[in-house]
Amino acid sequence: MIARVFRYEFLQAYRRRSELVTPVVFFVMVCSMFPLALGSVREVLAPLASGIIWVAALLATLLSLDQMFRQDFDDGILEQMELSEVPFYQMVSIKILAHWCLTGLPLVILSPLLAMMLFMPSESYLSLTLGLFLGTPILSLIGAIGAALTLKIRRGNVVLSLLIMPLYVPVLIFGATAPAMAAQGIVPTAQLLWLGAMLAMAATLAPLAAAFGLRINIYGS
Amino acid sequence: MVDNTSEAPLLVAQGIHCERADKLVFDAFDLQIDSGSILQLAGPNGAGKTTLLRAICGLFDSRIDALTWRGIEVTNPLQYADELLYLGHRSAIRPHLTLMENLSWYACLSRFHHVERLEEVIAEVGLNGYESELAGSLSAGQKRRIALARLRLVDCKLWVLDEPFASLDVDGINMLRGWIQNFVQSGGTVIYSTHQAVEFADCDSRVIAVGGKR
Repeated sequence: MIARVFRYEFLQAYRRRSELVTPVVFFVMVCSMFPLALGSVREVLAPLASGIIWVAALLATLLSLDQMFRQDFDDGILEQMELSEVPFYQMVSIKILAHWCLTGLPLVILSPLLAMMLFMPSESYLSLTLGLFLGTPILSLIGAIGAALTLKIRRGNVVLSLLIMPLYVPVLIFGATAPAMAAQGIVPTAQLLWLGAMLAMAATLAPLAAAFGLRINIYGS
Repeated sequence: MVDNTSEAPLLVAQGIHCERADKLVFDAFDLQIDSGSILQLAGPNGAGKTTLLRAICGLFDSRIDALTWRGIEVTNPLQYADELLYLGHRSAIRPHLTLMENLSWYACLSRFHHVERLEEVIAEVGLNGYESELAGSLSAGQKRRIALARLRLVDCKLWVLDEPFASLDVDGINMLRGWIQNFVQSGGTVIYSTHQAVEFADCDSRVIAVGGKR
């Protein structure tokens, strides 16, 4: 049942890909602005590369959050999910997973290409991609809480950004320092383990919080 | 207790309190729904019909003093939510999925579904030929029919229908009326709100006026 629910979630998100492509294009555009602004110089770009990619990934995720639940709320899909026998937080987890597959995963896949463009040393690629692989789901999960709470606010994305940005800071710190350490020849196990731990925590708690936030909105409508 | 469940009314809610935008909509409203009956909620716009329907489904933040479902005391309407089917103003149709996908998505939300009946149900609501059309491209009346098709796809005890006859043509109204009659005759229970006068033959039907006090 869960697999089928996921299939329809994914299908729906995939059909609305014009909205979903925007964050990915944004991600690539932001990253390519830096060589243009700072000059295509290895010495300048290489130390900044992981920071640029991580900040761009963070902003791209932020851009996609607003649409996570809005249409389903307006259509009444969420209230039917609430009434179904599948626990509501599981439904919310599935929605977040589908959202990540189409917004977070492309960023992970594109990141080595952008790293190459920004002259990142090749020994850092793995820790960047791994870090993003662990980190972008956290961004989606935490973002889901904000998206759920700001559902009723029109133009809610400004409030959403203010609400969510501070919570992204730890992810950014651990994520962006991992490739920098790898460049110095140190294996960034600690950073990646921290990201993994944060992912485990976000995956278990964020859907519950998001479901609670959505329920407040369903009750009030 | 087992004997009790077959005799007891389907749902008894005593003391329903609802507030909407800081205004009291219901204060200690009592509602009893008997098994195998049709209950119509009547009242002017804004009387709180939708609020009441949502409250008994657990979709509205209400306080209910005592709630029993088939003779068993429950604390939250969501505890029996899988035994009822709610059809609200929002038709819960995903515009980016096709008609077929919409209905099979809905069916997989419930254990008691009849996916094998899908083709038949689509024909019954007069939408054959539209199976692979995106739901978003269909008309309001057709969307309404997709929503109604769910009533035939999933088995449950209680239908909670909010304005089910809205934006339906005469054929549609007759079809739905027939469904409700069959459902009730086979032991189901229906609570609905409407502004139209709809007659049901051979059924125990009752009208409750909502919002008289305001």
